[in-house]
Amino acid sequence: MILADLLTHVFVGYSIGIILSWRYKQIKSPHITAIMVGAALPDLVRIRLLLDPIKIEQYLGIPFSWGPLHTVGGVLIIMTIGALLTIPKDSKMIFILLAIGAISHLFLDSLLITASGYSYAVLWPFLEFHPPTPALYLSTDVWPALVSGVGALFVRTLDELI
Amino acid sequence: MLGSDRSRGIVIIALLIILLLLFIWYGSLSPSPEKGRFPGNDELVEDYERYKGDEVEIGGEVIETDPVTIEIESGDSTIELKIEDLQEEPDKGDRLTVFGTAEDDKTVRAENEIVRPYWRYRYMYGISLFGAAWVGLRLIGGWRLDKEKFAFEPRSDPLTVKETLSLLIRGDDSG
Repeated sequence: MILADLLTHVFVGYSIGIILSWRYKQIKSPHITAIMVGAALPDLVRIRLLLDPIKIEQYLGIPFSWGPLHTVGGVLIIMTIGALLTIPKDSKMIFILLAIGAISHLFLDSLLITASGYSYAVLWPFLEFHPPTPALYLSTDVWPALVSGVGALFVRTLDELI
Repeated sequence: MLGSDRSRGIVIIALLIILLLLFIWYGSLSPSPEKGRFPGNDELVEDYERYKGDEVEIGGEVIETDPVTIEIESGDSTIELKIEDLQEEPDKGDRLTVFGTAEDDKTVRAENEIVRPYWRYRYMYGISLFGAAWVGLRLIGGWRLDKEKFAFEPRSDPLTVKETLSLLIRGDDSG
C-alpha cells in the first residue's frame, strides 16, 4: 500500500501554506486550510478500506477500482468539484491552493519504499507508467510525522515572530 | 463563467460521471510489468496458476514462520503462499510485502521484501485519523456555507480550534 501517513501530508501542507502566506498576503488561515485539504485529498482512496472494490466488482459485475483517487486524473476532478463548491470569486484561487497541497502529497508518496522498486501510476490517466521510487521511507515509519511535525512547528514559530 | 447554480450543478454531475468512468477504467487495467505494475493480491487470489513464472508484488499477514507463509486477501477470498529466499525473519502476525517470482506449489521466491510489525499499521491509522480531525476542525472553523448560494466561503474571522469545538457542541452556526 503506497500511502504516507496522512498526518505527515497535513503537516507539510500546513507548512507550505504558512510559507506562502509570507509572500502572498491574500493567503489567510482558511486558505492555509485549503492547502491542507488538498494535501489530504489523494488519501480519499482509503475509502477502499470501507468499500472493498473487489466486492463492488462482484456486486456490479463490472471492473472497479478506487485507485484513480490517488492519481493526477482523479485528484483533478475532485479539486475542480471542490473549487466549484466555493463562491465563484474564490473558485480559481481555491483550485490553485488545493492543487498545491495535492501535488505535495502525490510527490511525497512517489518517494515511498515499495517491494518492487516501482512507485504508483501517479500521472494516470495521462501516463500509465509507475516511476521507479527513490525509496526514502515507509508509510508506517514513525520519523516522517516527527520530522514534518517539528518542521511545521518551526515554521509556525517563525510566522509568529514575523 | 458557471455563474448560475444550475450550470454549476450540471458540471459537478458531469465530473462525478467522469470520475465513475475512471474507477471502471482503472479497475479494468491488467498487470503490465514493463510499466511497473505487477500482478498483486487480487490477481493471484483469483488465479495463481495463470501468473506462475511471473514477477509478482504481494502482501499479507505472516501466519506461519517455518516455512514463512502469508495469507493474502482479495475481497472475501484468501490464499496462503509460502515465501522462500527471504533476507529477514518475520514473526507471526507481521505484515510482509514481497516482490518475487511466483513458482510451483504456491511458493513465491522473494527478490525483495518489506517486513512490518502490525503495530506500525495501528500507529499509521491512528495518526492519520488525528491529521484528518485537525483538517476537519480547521475546515469548520475557517469556512462557512452560504446557504443561499450553496457555496462555501472563508469566514472573515476564522474560529480557533477551541471555538470550533464549542460550536460543534452547541450545534448552531451563526457565523
